[in-house]
Amino acid sequence: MKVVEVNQPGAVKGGRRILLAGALFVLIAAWAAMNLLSVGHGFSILVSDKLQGSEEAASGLARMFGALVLGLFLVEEAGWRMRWLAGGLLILGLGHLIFGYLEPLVQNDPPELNESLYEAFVTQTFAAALFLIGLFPVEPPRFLVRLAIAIPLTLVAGYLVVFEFVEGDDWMPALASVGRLDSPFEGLTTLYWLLAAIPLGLAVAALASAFWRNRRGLLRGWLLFAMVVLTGSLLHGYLWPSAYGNTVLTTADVLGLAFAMLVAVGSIAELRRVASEHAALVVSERERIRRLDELNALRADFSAMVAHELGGPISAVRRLTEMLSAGGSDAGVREYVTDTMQSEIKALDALVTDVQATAVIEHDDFEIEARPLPLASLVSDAEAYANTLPGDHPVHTTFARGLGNGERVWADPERVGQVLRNLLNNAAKYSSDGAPIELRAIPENGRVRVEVADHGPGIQAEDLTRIFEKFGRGRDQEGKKVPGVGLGLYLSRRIIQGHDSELRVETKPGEGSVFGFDLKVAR
Amino acid sequence: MSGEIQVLLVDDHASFREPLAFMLGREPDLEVAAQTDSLAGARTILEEGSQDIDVAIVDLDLPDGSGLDFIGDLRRTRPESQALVLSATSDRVLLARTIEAGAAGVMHKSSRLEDIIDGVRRLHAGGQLLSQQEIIEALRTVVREREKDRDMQAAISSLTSREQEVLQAIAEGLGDREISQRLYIGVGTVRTHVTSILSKLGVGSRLEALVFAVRHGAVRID
Repeated sequence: MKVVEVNQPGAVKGGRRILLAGALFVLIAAWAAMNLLSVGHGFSILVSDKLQGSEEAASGLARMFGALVLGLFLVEEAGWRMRWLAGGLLILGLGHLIFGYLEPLVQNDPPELNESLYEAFVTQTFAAALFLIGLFPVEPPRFLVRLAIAIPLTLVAGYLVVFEFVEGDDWMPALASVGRLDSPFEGLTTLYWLLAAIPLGLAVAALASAFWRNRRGLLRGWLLFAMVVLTGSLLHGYLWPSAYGNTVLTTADVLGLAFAMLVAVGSIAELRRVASEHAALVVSERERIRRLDELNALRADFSAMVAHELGGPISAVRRLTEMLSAGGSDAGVREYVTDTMQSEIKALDALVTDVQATAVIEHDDFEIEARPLPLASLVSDAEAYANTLPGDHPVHTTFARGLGNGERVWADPERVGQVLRNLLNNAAKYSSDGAPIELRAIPENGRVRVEVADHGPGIQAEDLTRIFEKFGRGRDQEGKKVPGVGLGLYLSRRIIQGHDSELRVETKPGEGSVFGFDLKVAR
Repeated sequence: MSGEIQVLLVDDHASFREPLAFMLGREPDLEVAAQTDSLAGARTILEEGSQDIDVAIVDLDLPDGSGLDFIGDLRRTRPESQALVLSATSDRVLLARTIEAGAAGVMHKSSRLEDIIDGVRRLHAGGQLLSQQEIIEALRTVVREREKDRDMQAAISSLTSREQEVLQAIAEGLGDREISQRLYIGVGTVRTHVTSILSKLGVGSRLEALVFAVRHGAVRID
């Protein structure tokens, strides 16, 4: 099985957490030592059977809830190890519920101390073995895993046979020589010390592994703290056993309850996290679907538009060839057909170029290769191009005061050149012959603004957003659609957006339009 | 009146219209009575009334409007004249609407010349270019589109005046807090209105609601 182990970010936070968990364990161990040294003058309260039963039931349910959350929600995300931890929690939960709550309830009698100590031994050993497998730094060999399950299972089975069927209470070696444990060390036999050291040893090993995993960001913080408290509880229980159903509430019980609380709170936090992640996922999935729908619609629109735009010139060429074959003997017809065909082929060529440019620009890996570029060369290239445009438009270039000759801007020379050529071309196309075109460079808030102004008819207000859309064409003052494919300004805007800027237009009907964008100054 | 079929050509694409006129003019039984590149020009020819028109060959995508409007005018003022649409569009709904408006035939611009000439002759002779099935299908398409549009309009008119105000405010780019300040209501109430708007319009997000509203004229965007 593939282990999904992802390092968590925030190593500093992780380091602090480990220090905190370590300090907590030292505190718990010191508390146990104090208990030992004061011979029982630590915390202990005599409680009623009912209260003890409730505590056992609550502890059991909290552990089983934790097992459910780990088993159901964390396995996929945090890997197979969570199954072992969930198994450990389940065994602990079942132990409290069956031996601590149900058995005394059914038998209507507090359990024998000796039997309780055996019960605690088998459940704790089983659970600690499962925790150790789940937290071990490396993936343990299969035979060890089998052994770690087989031995506790044999213990559980042996316990059931011995105590439930062959009256083991009478002949099994005693773990305690007294009926009730009122202070540490009192009445515990050597066999107890030997047996109880097994789950404690396993828990300590599991805790060390938990630190190791948490240090590498492979274990959640609340699980580390839970292991600290659980091991602390076993340590306290070792010195002053908290047998199931025992009516003395000891420090081991308090730590056991704290462990149950930690598991419950941690599990709820996990559930909340899973729920919010799920909600975020649903939102992003919806958004993705919406975008895909939009994209599909755009693609369909685009294909229809391209087919339409291709259809015009192709139909014209068809009619022209028919005209040529029918009236080709006439020089006038020949000349007309040749000229018109050339202009149609030019239109087709422009369409293909624009569609290609659109495809490039919309490709995911489209990049603007901006580099420091002398502003003067950008402007002079544009000016040279403007002078070649038809319509005898005088080109006035303004280099605002404050811009030095060596001023450089961040720009992709080819792309920004394409934008300027497009803007100048539009300016020439939509102005009457002889109307001047202005090309300006102006410093503005640490950037340089480049503008192309025409003295054409201006743009109608309702067309101001449409002209920047794909295949969006404006209308002239008489409401007639202006000629062109409607990709130029769309492409220009995309290129300028790639320069962290925006292509904007200001227009006054009857007076003209100013298209402009700004570029970052290169120092 | 001569015995030739009088044809009116309405198409803004001169490179298409002029060779077509040239070729139609070569046919002994056809005469291009007039040609124009705009809706306004076509309407002027109709209004002047000096020109006989047997068949009008009309493009839909005209610079100052749609050829669809001209077909309506032609069928109203000269019911005996026929309209043949020659278009590069593949928009099924638009083509269906031209049939509903009274176009007797619909052909693609790149159709063979013989087919166009044959179409003009058949229409003049009172023949059909569209099968009964095609006409019925086109009318069904138009009705379906209208119903869809009516459903949308009904959804919009089901909004309360308060919800319309909230939608307008969203269109103006206002956030929940700004909307609540403008309309003197709580932010929670704004959200309740938004939820109700989304549910009534059957959309999943504010953006979709906005697109829906703009498309159907429920809000203004200045």
